[in-house]
Amino acid sequence: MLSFPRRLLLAGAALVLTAGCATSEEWAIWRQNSAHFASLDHFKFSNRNREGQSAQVSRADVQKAREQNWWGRAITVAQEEILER
Amino acid sequence: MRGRLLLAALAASLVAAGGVLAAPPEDRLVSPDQHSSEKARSLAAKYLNALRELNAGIYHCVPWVEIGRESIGFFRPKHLPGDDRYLSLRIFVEQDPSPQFAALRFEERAASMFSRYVGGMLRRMAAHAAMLTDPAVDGFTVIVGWLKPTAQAGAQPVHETIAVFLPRPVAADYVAGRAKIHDVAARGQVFGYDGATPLGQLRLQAWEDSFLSTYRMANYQPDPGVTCR
Repeated sequence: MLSFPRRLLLAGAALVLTAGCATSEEWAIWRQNSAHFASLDHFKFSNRNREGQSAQVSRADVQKAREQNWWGRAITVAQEEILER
Repeated sequence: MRGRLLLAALAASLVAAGGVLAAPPEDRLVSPDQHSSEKARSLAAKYLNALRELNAGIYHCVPWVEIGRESIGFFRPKHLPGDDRYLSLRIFVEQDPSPQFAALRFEERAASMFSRYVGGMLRRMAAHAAMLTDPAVDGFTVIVGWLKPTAQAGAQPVHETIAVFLPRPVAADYVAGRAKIHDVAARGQVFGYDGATPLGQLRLQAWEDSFLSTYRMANYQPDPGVTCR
């Protein structure tokens, strides 16, 4: 049987260990939404444009977003099915 | 004096760097030597600058439209016999999800996208007027893809696609104002695809849609020196 001061110490240690860390459930949700800040460039873009401000979108922003392929590969018809070089 | 020269050199290099950054990816074009026939190689070389301008115009001024690698060139439509060469452009349209769009049948979505994009893209493709009278240019192909709105959330995305084939006289009539977009839909050939599955030839009822000439993407700023009409 642990004494009250020891129990207090253990509870405090557990609190310190978990504070600021995501739970496994939170990590699972985050992993499912891996599009968030997929890269540093996206982070910079998001950081530059905050709510309440007029966002600035350059052509380079659009291009980077595509190159990072946020939404995965799609099922589509191959060009060779329609056209020949 | 030396400091001024250094500053001028730095300014010149920045302008040059800006020019390089503003250029759209060249790999959107099929290079002339990558075409499979002499006729196609000759057309691609002859109109190389026009194809570059087409690529740059869409890249800077219609930024929500993506042109994939090797999507602009003088291709041969596979369903046609012989070596007919059509100036071909394949685009993918990125658009916000819309319940109204999702509620339409495939043919209705196809008609909407035809009405919105085919006429405008055709005008851009035929901006170099010589193509409309060049007998070696047999026609124009516009392939438009968009995200299938009815796909399950979390599942692999699926694209819907229409491939539109227009003989040169049809395109010339439209660009000259002698034909309306519904005439173009009636006189051309349109094929539909659900993902990789061909849906066969479609008969679409098209209408005039001014979206391309009026829509401006919110807060989008074209690169310095680029003018969009």
